[in-house]
Amino acid sequence: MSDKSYVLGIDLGTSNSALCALDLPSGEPTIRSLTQILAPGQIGGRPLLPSALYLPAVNEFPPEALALPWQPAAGQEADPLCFVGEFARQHGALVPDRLVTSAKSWLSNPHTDPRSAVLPWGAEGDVPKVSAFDCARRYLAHMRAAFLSGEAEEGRERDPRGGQLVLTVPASFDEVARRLTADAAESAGFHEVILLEEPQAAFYAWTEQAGSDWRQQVSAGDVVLVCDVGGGTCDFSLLVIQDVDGNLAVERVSVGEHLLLGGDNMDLALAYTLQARIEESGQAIDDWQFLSLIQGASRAKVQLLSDDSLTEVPVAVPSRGSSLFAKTISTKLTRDDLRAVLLDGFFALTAADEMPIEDGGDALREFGLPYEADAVISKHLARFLTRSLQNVRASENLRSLFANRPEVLEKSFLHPDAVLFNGGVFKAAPLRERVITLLENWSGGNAPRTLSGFEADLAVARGAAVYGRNRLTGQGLRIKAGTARSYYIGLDSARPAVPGFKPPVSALCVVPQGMEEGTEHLLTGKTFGLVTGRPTVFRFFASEVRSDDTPGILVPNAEMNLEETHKIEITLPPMEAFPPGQPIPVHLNSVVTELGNLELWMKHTASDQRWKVEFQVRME
Amino acid sequence: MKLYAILAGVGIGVLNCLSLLPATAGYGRFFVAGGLALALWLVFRALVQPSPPPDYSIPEPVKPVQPLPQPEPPKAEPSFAAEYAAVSLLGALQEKGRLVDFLMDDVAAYSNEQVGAAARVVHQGGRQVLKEFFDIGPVSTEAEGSSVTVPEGAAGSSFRLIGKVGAAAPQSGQLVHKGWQTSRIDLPRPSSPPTKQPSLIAPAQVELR
Repeated sequence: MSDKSYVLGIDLGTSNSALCALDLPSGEPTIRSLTQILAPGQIGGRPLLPSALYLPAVNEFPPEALALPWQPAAGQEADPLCFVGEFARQHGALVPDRLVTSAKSWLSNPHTDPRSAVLPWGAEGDVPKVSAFDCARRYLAHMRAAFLSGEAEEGRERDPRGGQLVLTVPASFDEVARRLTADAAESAGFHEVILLEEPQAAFYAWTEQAGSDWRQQVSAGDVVLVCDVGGGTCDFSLLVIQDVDGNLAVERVSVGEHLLLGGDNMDLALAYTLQARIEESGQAIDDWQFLSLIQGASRAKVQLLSDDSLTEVPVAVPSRGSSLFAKTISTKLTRDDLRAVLLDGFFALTAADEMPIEDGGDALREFGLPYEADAVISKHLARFLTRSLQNVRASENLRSLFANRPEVLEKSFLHPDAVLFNGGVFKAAPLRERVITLLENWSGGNAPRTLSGFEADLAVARGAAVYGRNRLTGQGLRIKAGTARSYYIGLDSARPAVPGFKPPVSALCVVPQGMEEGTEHLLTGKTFGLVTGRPTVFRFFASEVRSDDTPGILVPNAEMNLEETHKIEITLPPMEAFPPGQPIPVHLNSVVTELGNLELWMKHTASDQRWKVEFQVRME
Repeated sequence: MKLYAILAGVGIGVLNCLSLLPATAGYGRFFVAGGLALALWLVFRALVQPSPPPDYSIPEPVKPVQPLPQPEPPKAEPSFAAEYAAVSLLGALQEKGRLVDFLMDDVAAYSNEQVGAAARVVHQGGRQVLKEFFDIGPVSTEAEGSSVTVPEGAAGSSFRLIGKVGAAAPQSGQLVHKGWQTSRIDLPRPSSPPTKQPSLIAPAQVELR
């Protein structure tokens, strides 16, 4: 039995975070208001905590202005001094050099070490720097403290250890980013963190919201697309509904790649359209006014999308000074703009085989976040569905899910029968309809159903709490998921060196796709030589589309066939009787723990001694 | 009760901005001027007059404040909670909706079009603030102009009787204004209790280059 008395579901979002609490065994999931700084010396509760972190200059604010109920003397333990939430975002927009946003995307950025203090990216001068890991830790620590202090204020003292945290991560996060997120939660004071993929969380929230009715809305054999477009990212997953002994069960069969493309891009695109219009009329706006224009464009977008009778919505941009009447610039966002930018831009009716344009091939590019080169979400969706089919076809197991519907596998992409939307972008009905139309066109007039009832901003946190409850009580739905990718470790091929030619690396599959929690593989068939006592390099690879690889299989030319996730250089402690540098014969042992953490062990063939190789990053 | 008078005043100001839009400009000027004056008067009155204003209160306190089980302190420190709430609400309306800029500027010097453009700024931002801090809905859900019966005990509080007012209940009449009430009040709080009367609505801004 679990000693937990409540579950906390946390959606650690790219732009906003939310927390949902649920009392075990049968409480209702409730979103908790999160106390945060709203202005200097002023605090208040909001359901969302903007994922923004501000690093104030020395003496920019008096220390008491940044105090929180649980942290009366701001800055005592915080090094460097920083604060998160509403005021961080609001004030940071005017002081961009000191603002960190999208830290979550930096966690999964392969080009920088998420634990090295490089953010705010590109900031110069005396701005202190933090790491992406630090940011995640601080958001989580803030939410934890806000929850506990809020509960105490209402007379409920909560035992911090009595809560089970379920923390959501994008399905597209690789093992490194997942691990970093879990570690950040541990260092923020949580224990035994359970991770859950966001699209799955959205599905749990939907089943909870639909009650027993959810079983009427889907049937065995259905392919459900979870289409999640938030502020900064797109995240896709496919679930298959199955009939297991007369009950409906759900299995997640594929996840998409990490796409840095979302609602913020859309607001920005609309703001550029309006800025061009303002400039055509002979007026000019400064940077500050542009920020206000983005907000204005976003509001006008929401109005136009929610009211079909409007053909245009005026947008007014105030000046910075106090004279509001003389200097307010006004323009308007028309329905045509919206159609051109949103529907025909981001959600264009492209063909099912039209794939996103890869990087434009610029020889030099700024070394920041790897934003998508192609902003057309339709094409990314097409790529995802095509790759999903490829993945399902590759595996006997996954193919068997479609035993009664072989025609599904005959197409060029996996066509969903139903769509569950999530994320702020899909609050707008016309955008949901557009995605349905797109899928209908691709499948020759066969429109998928929309799973009704969703809560765009808060579903993921709610779903996380529901999953935690189902898991701890053993009751209710559990989506069969396992690892989303297969993982490989690089092996140097034994070949004579040739000048100027790097021998191709082959990679050994250590974790197959779909490996479930609480299981392990011991590869006794092959013996490897492990060098201890001196620095050794390990290279790790992964793939989303090789569902047929089994542990022990060797993939040639790994750099071509797989994605390299990370490379670590470590010195393993030597073993008695083996001098440093002499290879020790080992077997590989891969483990997915009960909490979903992936571990790789090297086990001495002749004894119980073993070494753990962390899935962690250290860059070259 | 000071606080509610200020809320009512500010609310009238914000709502009146609507009628400044060109669409209603034909007949709205006198009404608008009156409305704004009323709003200003209310704010002014609430700020300078210590006695509670007649009855702009919201009838049922929706979020009961928990009484702290403290023994009465021997010497009462002056509390500026009401002043803080008022100034921070004004501050939020200024920050998001530029309301103080709007009301402090001389409206007479500008064209209806300019005033209308500025009113949009006030409306967009002010509305956002109202939604963040309150859940506002009508007191009566009947259509204005229709005949309604005043609920028992509501006369004089959430229903204001005008015209030929008699004593006999139940009282019925024509609904002139549906009224507004809030089911939630979620005002910003000071991170530490203010020790002097708050004065800052919006700071001066200086851009460093």
